[in-house]
Amino acid sequence: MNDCSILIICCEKMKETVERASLENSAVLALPCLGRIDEAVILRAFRKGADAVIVAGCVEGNCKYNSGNYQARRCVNEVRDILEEIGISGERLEILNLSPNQAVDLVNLFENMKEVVLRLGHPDILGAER
Amino acid sequence: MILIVGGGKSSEIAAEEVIRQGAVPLRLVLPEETFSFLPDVETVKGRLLSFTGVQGNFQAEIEIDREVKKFNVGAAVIAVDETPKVSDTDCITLSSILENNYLKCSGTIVILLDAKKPSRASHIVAVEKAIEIKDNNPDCRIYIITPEVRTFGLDELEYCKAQKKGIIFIRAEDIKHSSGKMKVTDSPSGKVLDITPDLVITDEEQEVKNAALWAKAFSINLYEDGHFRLGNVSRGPVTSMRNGVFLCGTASRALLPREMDTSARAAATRAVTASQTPLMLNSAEVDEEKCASCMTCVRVCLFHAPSINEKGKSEICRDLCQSCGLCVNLCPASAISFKGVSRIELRNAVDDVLRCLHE
Repeated sequence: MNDCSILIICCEKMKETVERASLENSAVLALPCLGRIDEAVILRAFRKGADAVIVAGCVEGNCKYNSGNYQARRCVNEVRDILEEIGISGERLEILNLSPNQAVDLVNLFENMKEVVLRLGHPDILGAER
Repeated sequence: MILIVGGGKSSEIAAEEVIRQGAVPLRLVLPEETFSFLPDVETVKGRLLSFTGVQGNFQAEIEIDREVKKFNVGAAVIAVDETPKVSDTDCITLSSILENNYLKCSGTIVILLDAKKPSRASHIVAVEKAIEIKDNNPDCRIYIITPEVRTFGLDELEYCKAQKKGIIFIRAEDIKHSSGKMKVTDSPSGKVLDITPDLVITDEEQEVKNAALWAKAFSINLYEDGHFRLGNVSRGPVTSMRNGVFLCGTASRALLPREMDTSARAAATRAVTASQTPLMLNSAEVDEEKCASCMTCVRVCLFHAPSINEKGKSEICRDLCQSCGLCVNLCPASAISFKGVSRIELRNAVDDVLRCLHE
């Protein structure tokens, strides 16, 4: 399976780092701050055919707006529960506290995520568009 | 023009630095506050009524002698220094021995350093003064009682010197002091020591005066200990959570005199730079029909941007909004929208990036 697609949601500050990592089979969605992220965004991504989602925010305590990355973590935990409920493995969703000079963390997580997707295949979502 | 608040030492340094960088400082002190005279700096005595606008283009309304005057300022520096809290005990304090000459004292002298929020330099001052007194009068016995000796960097040499001169340091947490007698428990050995001091010198608790007043006027936050809240790391040093408002000196934390100097210069430099780079940010907007006045946005926003207006609906102040989108996310009635990341736009953005990927 070579056509896995992974969505990386990041904040404005991490956009450059994520884009410079130029990961294959990935799409990047940049928000002003991860405080904006809500459950609907992540679930929409799965519905639109993403195999996995990585949420990349700043290091804890480092958010310019103080609480965006905590908010994202709360949201990700909540969505993971929803995914498990509807029969999608929670492993497909991961949050990462990235610092701009540590792109290697993102690359490592991305490789792990790829393996997870290879192992699990495409998520089985009714009406998902691919 | 750069607004500098406060009359202490760091405000002087900041004003000096602002002039050196080619900008015009305006110093604001409260009517009851004392301040040092600076020939080149315009100093007004008044109260700040409001501080609106954005970085590079602030409008400050200042009440001077019951007259309201408006000033256009590019940025603001808060240089309100810590001052010793007025204590109710009649002990001699460290700052008073700096001002007066206590060099002739003799007998047993105890320097007690156990204030809850001391100034960062108090231990160094105590050690240096103790050496001075001992040099003047080698017969006197000097005890410095403190849970921990906080001399930093090269000042450790002074600490070493003091010990060599015979000043006795007692690390004690349990100190009882009544009617001229002291009972201290030396914490390493657990022994109880009785001392009958002839003179007790204490260090004072420090406070930032009128911090709540300034914080309200500038719409910035305070720490629980009464200092101004520094901006998060990614905003850089000497910032506050509001763009264009900078903190310097001991307004935000206890600092050594040298560090105070540096931070005042840093804040002045950043303020001058900020005043030349105006910032225009998008602001979140409220759909008043959908707003349920639940106060969620008012509570979650760290920048004090949303407030409930006279119609009983939420209203977001354009000047204070930093467009992070937190309120857009958390509003239960989805009444708040924000250009670029409203719910529909974000949904379309997800669709678009994934469509591009699959094609």
